[in-house]
Amino acid sequence: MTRMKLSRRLPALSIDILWPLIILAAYVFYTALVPQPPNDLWWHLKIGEYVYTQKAVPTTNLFAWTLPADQPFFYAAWLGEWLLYVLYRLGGIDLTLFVRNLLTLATFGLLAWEMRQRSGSWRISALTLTPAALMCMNVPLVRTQMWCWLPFMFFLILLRRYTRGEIRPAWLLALPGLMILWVNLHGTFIMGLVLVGAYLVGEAIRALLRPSEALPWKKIAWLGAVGLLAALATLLNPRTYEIFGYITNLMTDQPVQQLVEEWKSPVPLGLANTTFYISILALIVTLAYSRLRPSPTDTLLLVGFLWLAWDGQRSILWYAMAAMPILAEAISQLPISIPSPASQRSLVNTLAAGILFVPFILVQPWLVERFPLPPTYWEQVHQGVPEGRMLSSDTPITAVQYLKEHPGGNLFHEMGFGSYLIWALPEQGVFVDTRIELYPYTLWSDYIHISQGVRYNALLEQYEANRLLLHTGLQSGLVEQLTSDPTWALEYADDSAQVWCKANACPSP
Amino acid sequence: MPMPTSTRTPRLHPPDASILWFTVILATISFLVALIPIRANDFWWHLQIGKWIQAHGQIPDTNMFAWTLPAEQPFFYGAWLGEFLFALLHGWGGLELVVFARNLMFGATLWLVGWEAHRRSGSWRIAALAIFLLYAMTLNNLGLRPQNWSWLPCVLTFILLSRFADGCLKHGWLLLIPLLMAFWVNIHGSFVLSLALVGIFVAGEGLRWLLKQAGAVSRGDLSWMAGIGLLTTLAALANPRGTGIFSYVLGLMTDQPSQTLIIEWQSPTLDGIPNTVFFASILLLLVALIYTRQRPSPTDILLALAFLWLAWSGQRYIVWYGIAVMPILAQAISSLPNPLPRLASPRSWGNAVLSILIMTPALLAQPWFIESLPLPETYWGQIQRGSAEGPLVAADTPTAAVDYLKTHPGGHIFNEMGYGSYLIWAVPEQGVFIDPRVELYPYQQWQDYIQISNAVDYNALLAQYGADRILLNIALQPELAFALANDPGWAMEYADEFAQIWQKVK
Repeated sequence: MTRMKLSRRLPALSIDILWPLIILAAYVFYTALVPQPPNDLWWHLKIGEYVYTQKAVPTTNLFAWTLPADQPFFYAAWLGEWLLYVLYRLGGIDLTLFVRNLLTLATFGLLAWEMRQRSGSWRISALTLTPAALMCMNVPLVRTQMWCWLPFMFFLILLRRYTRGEIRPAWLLALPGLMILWVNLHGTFIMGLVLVGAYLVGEAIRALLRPSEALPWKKIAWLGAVGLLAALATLLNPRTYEIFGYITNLMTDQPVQQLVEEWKSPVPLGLANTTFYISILALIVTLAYSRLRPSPTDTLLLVGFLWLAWDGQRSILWYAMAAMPILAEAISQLPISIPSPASQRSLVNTLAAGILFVPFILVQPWLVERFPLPPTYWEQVHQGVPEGRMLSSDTPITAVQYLKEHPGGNLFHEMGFGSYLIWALPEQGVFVDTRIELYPYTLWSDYIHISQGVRYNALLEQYEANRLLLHTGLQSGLVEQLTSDPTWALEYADDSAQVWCKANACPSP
Repeated sequence: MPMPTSTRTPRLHPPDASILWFTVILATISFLVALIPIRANDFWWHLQIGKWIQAHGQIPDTNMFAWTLPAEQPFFYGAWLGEFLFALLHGWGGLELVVFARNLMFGATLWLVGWEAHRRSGSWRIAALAIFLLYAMTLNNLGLRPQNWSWLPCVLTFILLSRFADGCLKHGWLLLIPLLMAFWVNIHGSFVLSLALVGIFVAGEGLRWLLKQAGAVSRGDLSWMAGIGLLTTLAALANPRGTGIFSYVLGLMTDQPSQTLIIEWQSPTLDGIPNTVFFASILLLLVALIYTRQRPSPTDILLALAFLWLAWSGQRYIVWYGIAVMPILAQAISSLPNPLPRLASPRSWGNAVLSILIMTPALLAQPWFIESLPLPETYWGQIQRGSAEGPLVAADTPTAAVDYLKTHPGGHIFNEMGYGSYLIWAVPEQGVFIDPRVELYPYQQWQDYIQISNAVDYNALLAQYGADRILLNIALQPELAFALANDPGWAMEYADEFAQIWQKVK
């Protein structure tokens, strides 16, 4: 192929674009290597399988032996679960991981592009993409929430383009369409309504305060109408309007709010949360000195998503997507001159951009085990197991295999293990699992006490649990107690899991 | 931001009516602060140390009270002067005078923060908002303890530097800062904030000078501030440990038990009114800085960033954030494009009289009169009325249980941490298992304390330490109370609504 032919097919890129691409490539490389913990994957897969095979969305507990089997439970993410299972059927865990990697790439690629749109600079885009990526280091796991990253970005981009007069009103009709999907994918669909609401209120305030710079009222009315349509679209789910009651319950559910780490407020510890807090300082400094006076809409987005992120670490992702482009725009209008060397377009840059993503391609699930990673990394993931690649080493694969061969008993176990048990051995039944809101607070309180070794014999007896599947790291208090308790016998042990039975009722070998 | 210079008043003028906004808020807060119960944790052991210093004429340097550690185990009483002052006041006027001093110090701190906020904003109403936010975010941090003595040095250091940087004070005034430091370094570990404040002002004003900003201090003034910083650092050495005070503070900041086990050392989260107000104030600051017509000075931005980070790293630091940042917030709010509507505010001495009258309820809530105030029963449920110790003693202070121990002494007692503080005060010869001198005890002992309190392996652990009696807090140690009630190896000696005493059955 001649050079001329190549240049016709490949766009020549400027060197500036390599800045955000370096960050993006590093981020997607990192996230592709994050081991997949058992907590939030396997039970979703099981529900997806149920939906796929039964062609119906389940409505009850199904798996926990501590509650009636017909105890109502709302599987709001049924479509996300169905999609996960379809991928699993087509290509196993590897394909779900690969799709997660693509979604990460697309979402953060769009984010970088949006930052560039706002700031007019790829380098500023790289500067603000860095904290956005760092604060979301813990986010990209295979779970139903991953289906919502792109809808959120699309909402954000379409709404901004519309309020800037860059797209026609008809484009906004995509939002109710997206909402029909989103409401069945994950409970975060409410973010779509929040975004439309922020834009509606923000633009109305602008129209009242500065009519000359604002959208005409007719366009604001159209935004309101689309918001109404999007709200109506949320009713297209198996529980129609009751989905709002489900969201309200979830947001105020005591066990969810108090016991689940990702629902708790972030504290400035660890790289991700520290970056989140540093980004707030960066916003304060930049907005104090920038010539940019953010629109009321942007201010509402900043304030709203900052509060949301403070309320729970799981929302830091939405804050990063909503606030970091505003930071990029504010940086671009600081009263300092950022040197901007002439940047010519060249195929060499295009080639460099392609090379940047080679490592990312090489760590895709089908290739990753051949990638030269340090032994300390491989200690964190299962290798060569039929369940799939990149599964965290504390997924109790062999312990559950042991339970398959030695079934029976009422099993008390670690919460995340419950998720894997639902998938791999549903007939065993679970004590608790990561469907947090299914279980009453007292059950969670007892679960914590037992795990710490507090009154564990009395509590286990109360529930009639006579076997234990323990996480040796997360339930070390209980493990320590059991080693000196003659009423319990160790049946099975590996690096991260142990199975114990009541000494007088152990299954025969 | 350049300051309005018209606020300097050579003669006394009658206040305008808008000051009533400020006095109403100040009076309300002063009233509410006066009602705060005295929790056992962080007061009584300090008072005992103060009494010890008074009696012996020297500062102790060993454990003294914990039977789980050698009596001669070294311990640095960094707040010795605060403790001595508490003991002095207690000797002169009992617990009433100590509580009154705390009320007075917080009232004065609020007034000074409000005064600075008014200077910066030109509005008493915005100043009222500033002190309301400061109070609301520090609600949990106003208990009686040596930290109380640091509020005024902090706010005074801030105001002196701020006014000097704005050209409102002569050079000589800054000499007060090293003097304040000589006091501060002996009353509480927070003295390092003085150095931080001077450092931030030197850096911020230096930046203004380099950028040749309008209103920037001269090179000479900058050198003077740096010189004051040096003097302040030297003043910090005027303490019993000399340079060792810095390693003490560093050790405290990195002490594992303090950092991981004590709530107030942990980062604030969006729970409860004080923390919610703290986070809301950050949003308010962000929005005000976005829309304010005046750009903040580099110094103000550095102050906001540094004290924000400090507050994020531990709830106990929110009070310093409030003192340093609320005046900056007030200034930013005052320059918003749509300030609060201006109301007619005629000047009159009547406003001054009215302001004093507004403060009357706060005076009536002072410790000498408080028990005769008609307050709801829900409030009195939190207080021991008529306690021999004095007013405002928290209901769960184990006064009756410790009276029992005085008449039935002996044994090695395992006690709730906060109760340890009261034991040190009321019956020091009994000795404590653990107490709020958190850094005195090894991490392992704290972990064992938690395990025992949760009734995990408690018999083995108590036997390991040789503990044969238990003084427990029923609300904070329910698992242990439950386990002992079902354990024939222990017999209950004493019980009241809040505390229980158990003895090992021989």
